[in-house]
Amino acid sequence: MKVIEINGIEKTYDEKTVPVHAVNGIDLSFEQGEFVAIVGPSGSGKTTLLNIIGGLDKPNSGEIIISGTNIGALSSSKMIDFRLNNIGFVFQAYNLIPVLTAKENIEFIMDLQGRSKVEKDSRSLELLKSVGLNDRANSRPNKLSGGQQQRVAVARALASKPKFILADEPTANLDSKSTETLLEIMEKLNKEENITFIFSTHDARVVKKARRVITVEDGKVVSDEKC
Amino acid sequence: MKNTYSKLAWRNIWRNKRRTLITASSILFAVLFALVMRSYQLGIYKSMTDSVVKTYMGFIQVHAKDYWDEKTLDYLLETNEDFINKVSSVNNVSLIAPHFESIALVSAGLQTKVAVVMGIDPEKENRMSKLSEKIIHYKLDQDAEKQLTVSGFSEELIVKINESRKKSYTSKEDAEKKLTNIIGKENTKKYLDLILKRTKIEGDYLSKNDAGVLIGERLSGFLKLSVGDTLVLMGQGYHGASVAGKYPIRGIVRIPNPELDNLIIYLSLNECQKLYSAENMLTSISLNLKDPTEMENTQAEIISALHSDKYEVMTWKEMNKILVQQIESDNYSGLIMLWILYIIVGFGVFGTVLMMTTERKKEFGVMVALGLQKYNLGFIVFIELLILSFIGILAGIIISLPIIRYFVVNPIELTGSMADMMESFGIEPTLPFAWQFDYFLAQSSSVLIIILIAILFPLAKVFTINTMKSLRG
Repeated sequence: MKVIEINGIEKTYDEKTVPVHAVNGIDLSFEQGEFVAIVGPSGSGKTTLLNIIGGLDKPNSGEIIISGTNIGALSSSKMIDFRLNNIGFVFQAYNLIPVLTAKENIEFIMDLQGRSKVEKDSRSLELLKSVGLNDRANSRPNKLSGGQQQRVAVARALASKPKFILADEPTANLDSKSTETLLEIMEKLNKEENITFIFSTHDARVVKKARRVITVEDGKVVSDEKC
Repeated sequence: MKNTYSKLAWRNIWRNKRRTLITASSILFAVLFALVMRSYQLGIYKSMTDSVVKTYMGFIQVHAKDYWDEKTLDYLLETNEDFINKVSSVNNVSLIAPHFESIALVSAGLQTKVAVVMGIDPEKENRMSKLSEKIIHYKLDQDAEKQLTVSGFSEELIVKINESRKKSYTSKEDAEKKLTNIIGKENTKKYLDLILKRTKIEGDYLSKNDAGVLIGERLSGFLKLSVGDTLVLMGQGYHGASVAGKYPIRGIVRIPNPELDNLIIYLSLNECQKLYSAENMLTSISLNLKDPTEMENTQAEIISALHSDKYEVMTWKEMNKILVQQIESDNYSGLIMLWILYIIVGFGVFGTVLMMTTERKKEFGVMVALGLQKYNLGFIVFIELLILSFIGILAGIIISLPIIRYFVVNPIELTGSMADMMESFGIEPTLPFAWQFDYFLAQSSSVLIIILIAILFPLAKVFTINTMKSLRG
């Protein structure tokens, strides 16, 4: 089942006088349960592509259809709601809310969705357990290591039961042990919960785990291989 | 969900404790300074007003038409039951004090001076202006000084009292308070009984049809008169008749307004009407009000109740425009000072809030990316700043309360040239602070409004946040 369908998207940044073609006519589609790595050199357009898929940025042309909804046609406010209910994000710098504990960070998304306290409680604990941090539920981000913070970020991304998760260089700030743990957790969740994961990455270890690798150069897809 | 927003707001306040304390402190000091300054100003205005209104003028006066402009005995009120009933039927009127006021020459021995003669109903006047409490019962004259030095009271202390010019006291409490300021607490405690014993003078308030007079302290000093001495009044009575009378002095009163203190002689109303050959006539009736803030409405009600063009009904503000102007001009300069303070604080808060929102731009971007609506993000930031403002405002109020209360109970007694200046304006040389709920509310609200204005721009930035740019940091 197709989760995401991208048709001919282009994105040009008007960098003062010299326009930069970050994404230059990309057509792609993603199926439910895929584990995809988008690779390419710096400036190739990976992050822009991810931001456009996530509805954080708008293309100059083309369309992105997520589960039958053309997200380009949504207003800013509807797009925020759409993101909340359909897309999970994992950022390179973890970006947990510093004043909330690990558990509260996960519950925050469910709060926005208006879930009940009982539901929030049980799901957040379940997710913390699945990322191996059930003993750190009440720790604030500054008391967690980088790897632990990123695991909480993954749990947070899963909290809303999204259709897919976008992860922009999720292992870039992690040591090899943390990277390995994180990848194992994501792979497990991908398999167990059949959630689509799309990464942008430079990390060979991530690429190795991916079951589909899309290579982007100069804003274009130069290869799309299933492993 | 609202609970989560409040939790976020509350925790965000304390994530940078130092900045929170600095911001809250700037608000605290603004509120503290504004409240103390305003309390002081309003206290002074109240004192100025009281010294005029409660001394003899009343909040409202009723005269015969044109009396206020002419102030001659050709414009007198004829008292009758119907007139008094109509005025007293107005709900807000708490007291009616009849007056017969004119000028006369006062003579004692070789001294003669112009005086204001005020015919009063002693009982009603006392309720209006507490005149009996202004009678001097203790006076440090040369005889008293000699007696004190003989009794072992040091000359140095007498010099201090003389220099302060506070040489007469209306009661033991008045003496104790003033002497404490002049010769210190210890000396006062040690010598108070002796001073009271040696400086005691006779003095009684007027009875209803008393044939004696009360005289202002300064005027008695000029005429070198004491209680029991006699003075002579000469003047022009009703319809131009020449009038004169001889009156024993029952008591010496200290009037806070020095100008009036140098002119005033009180007679019982009957005696005054007899002196001026104007029986049953009055120059004015002065009214005290239950609720002074309703003065203008009460004035309109009295005009309506009297329903006659034979009368003029005037508020103290209409009768004493100079005082009103003084208060207004001082009030405006005070308000300008306060607004300058508010603006400074406003810019301080603006800077802090702008810095705070800029610092957390990435965090805001993440929250919006995760699915938090921008208006809810704005709401969180707004709640955060509101709590911060309330902390500052509440702390300001709490700290100011005991300070203001202290000065309400213990007004600062001025001495020297400052005291002279205040007395020259007809105000008692003390700095009483006002204790009113409304200015606490007004100043706190003003500070809050300024803060709300100051946070508008940073809040607008939150509402229009560009998620992509914010995520880049």
